[in-house]
Amino acid sequence: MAKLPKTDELLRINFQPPKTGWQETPVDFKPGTWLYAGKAESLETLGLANPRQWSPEDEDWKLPENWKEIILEGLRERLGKFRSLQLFMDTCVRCGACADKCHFYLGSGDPKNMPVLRAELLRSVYRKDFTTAGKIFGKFAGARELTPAVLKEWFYYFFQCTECRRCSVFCPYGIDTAEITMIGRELLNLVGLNIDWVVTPVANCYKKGNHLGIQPHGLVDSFEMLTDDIADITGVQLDLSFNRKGAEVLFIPPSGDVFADPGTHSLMGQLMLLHEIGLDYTLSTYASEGGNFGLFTSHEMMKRLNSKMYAEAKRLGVKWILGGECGHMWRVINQYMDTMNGPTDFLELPVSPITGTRFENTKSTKMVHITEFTADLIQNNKIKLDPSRNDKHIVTYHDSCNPARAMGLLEEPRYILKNVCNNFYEMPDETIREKTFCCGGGAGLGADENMEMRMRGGLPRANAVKYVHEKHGVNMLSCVCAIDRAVLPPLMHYWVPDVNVCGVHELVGNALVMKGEKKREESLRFEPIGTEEDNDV
Amino acid sequence: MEQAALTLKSLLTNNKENLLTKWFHLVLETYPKETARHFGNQKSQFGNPVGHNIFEGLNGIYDELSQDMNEDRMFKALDRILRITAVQDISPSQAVSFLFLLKRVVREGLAEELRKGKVLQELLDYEDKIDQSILLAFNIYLECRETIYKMRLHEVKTRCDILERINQYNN
Repeated sequence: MAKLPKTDELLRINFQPPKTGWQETPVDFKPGTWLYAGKAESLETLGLANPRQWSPEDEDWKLPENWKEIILEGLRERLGKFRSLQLFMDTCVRCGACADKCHFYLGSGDPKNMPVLRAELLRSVYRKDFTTAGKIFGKFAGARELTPAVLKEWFYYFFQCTECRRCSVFCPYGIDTAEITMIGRELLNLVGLNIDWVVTPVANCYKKGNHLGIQPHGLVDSFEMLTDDIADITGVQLDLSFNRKGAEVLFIPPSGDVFADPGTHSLMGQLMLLHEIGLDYTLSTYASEGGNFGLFTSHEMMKRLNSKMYAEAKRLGVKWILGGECGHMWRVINQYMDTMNGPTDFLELPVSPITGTRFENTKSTKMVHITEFTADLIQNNKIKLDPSRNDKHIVTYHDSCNPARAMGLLEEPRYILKNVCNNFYEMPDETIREKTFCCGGGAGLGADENMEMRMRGGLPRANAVKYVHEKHGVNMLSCVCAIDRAVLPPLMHYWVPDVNVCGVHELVGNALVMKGEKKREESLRFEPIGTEEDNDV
Repeated sequence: MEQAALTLKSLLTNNKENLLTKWFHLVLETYPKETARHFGNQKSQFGNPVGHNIFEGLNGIYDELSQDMNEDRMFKALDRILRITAVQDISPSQAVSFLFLLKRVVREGLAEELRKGKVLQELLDYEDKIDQSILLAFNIYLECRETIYKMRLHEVKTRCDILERINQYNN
């Protein structure tokens, strides 16, 4: 018979956390907090180091024999290559301004989720091997030896950061902790430590052009499913073109929106809009992914996956590129694409053929965000909208981290929303725009096995949604990111069950009055259109 | 008249601020020191969602236990805290332990008054109510955990459906 604990043992509850310092408290890999390891075959596809079967729960992570040398050499190389990294390692004065700004820290209370301490995980090793003070004084100078336990800690916490950059907004020195995480992940990749939710989509994208691994004919079929739905709802048949040379514009949405609800509804809205204004555009079955999980792997991988956008634009001979509602995709495009894969001397400065607006802000990348494009159409009165079709939605807007903080896309989505629906309420100031809270599942953390961690990280966002839900009756959380659309529905289900999630262009699609359309009775979700009261009758 | 003023109910009402603050800080002590300090800061309900919700939850629970308990309100107050602790890095017993702490707070905080007055029966009834709320808390905690598992299952199923469709298309 199993040994049962005695009554007094059961009642002996320890209220206090461990008394050891942060350097001496090892990571405990509890289910629900970590992600499955990258599949060996995906690593092989990408030529990444040390493909093998392993799990973070295992004692032995099957590292290469000289793993320590590889990591330290990798760090040395990156310190030389990225001046920002050297600055970030040296300049932090531990003022604590970032400490309470991370959503994972706010939700979990785990001090190692404070951005300053997350960075310190790497910085302590940097001090030990790359600074004189650290070499001489060791622990007294905040330095520590790189051991397997430290490596495990890196894995645990660098894959517990969504690279959302909220902390960097508050750092007086401008230290970008997301970039520290990025370097941390790059180093881990050198010895084969990565997660499957990142590595397999990257391998799919590398082989087939998109994260989901949809082949060209499959992609065409799935777009046709969307146009069939649009025809059922509106009576208007869209005629899409793929890989068409000589089109004016190449349109690249994130592939998540082709397949997963509610992203599909948002993509339908975008396709309807582009049809309605008669834009001469083409989709590509090769550059069929706006997102770029390479960003969550390494700089080299990000560059590799991103290169197809310009390659395809060049091959098809388009004038400029239009991008869909995606989050991190825009960080890559806005901050890295031009220097990684430019110059784009084969493209022209994007000009809207409908309004004549020159998108000067995209001079270097030649790539326009769909909400910039749509907001311009609305401002110039080029589309007809009936916002009452969205009357049953009381809408708020979640600024997706990357479009907000990495490209300053703050006004355009709001301008669109205010024109396509009659009920719009902002969440509190400290939770939106550049201070927006992450969904908790960005940077490759949107898996199911870490659901508990996602709920912790998403709490600050959900808490603000709950506030407007209770105050204004908000029932729809809109956003412009495919990962948000995948991650926010369960977050809402757990914290604020009466709130749904949609892309901004789903609401555009509902409100858009199309030439030759039949009387609209259903929304893009095939739900009755109109107010809740109308539907009750 | 003096005896009447010393009922447990009035003691709990008169000493609410003091007892609630003590309870709140005892609950926060279950977190690491730096975190307890931050969670204890009540300046912003959006910058400190855990601290804010724990405080408001404890406030609601305190009121319900001090008066005639309304089950719906009690459920909401408990849910506010347990929905958070159910996803934090603590054991199930730790997640519901904050209610046990209230017994300690009341016994210690009102020690002198309890000795003087004739409120033993009232105290026993009060502690029975705390026990009841612990049982309710256990249900809520489990419901939260089940929701997490159901959400995981839903995501796995959705992913399988998507993969199935992709495979169909790719063939």
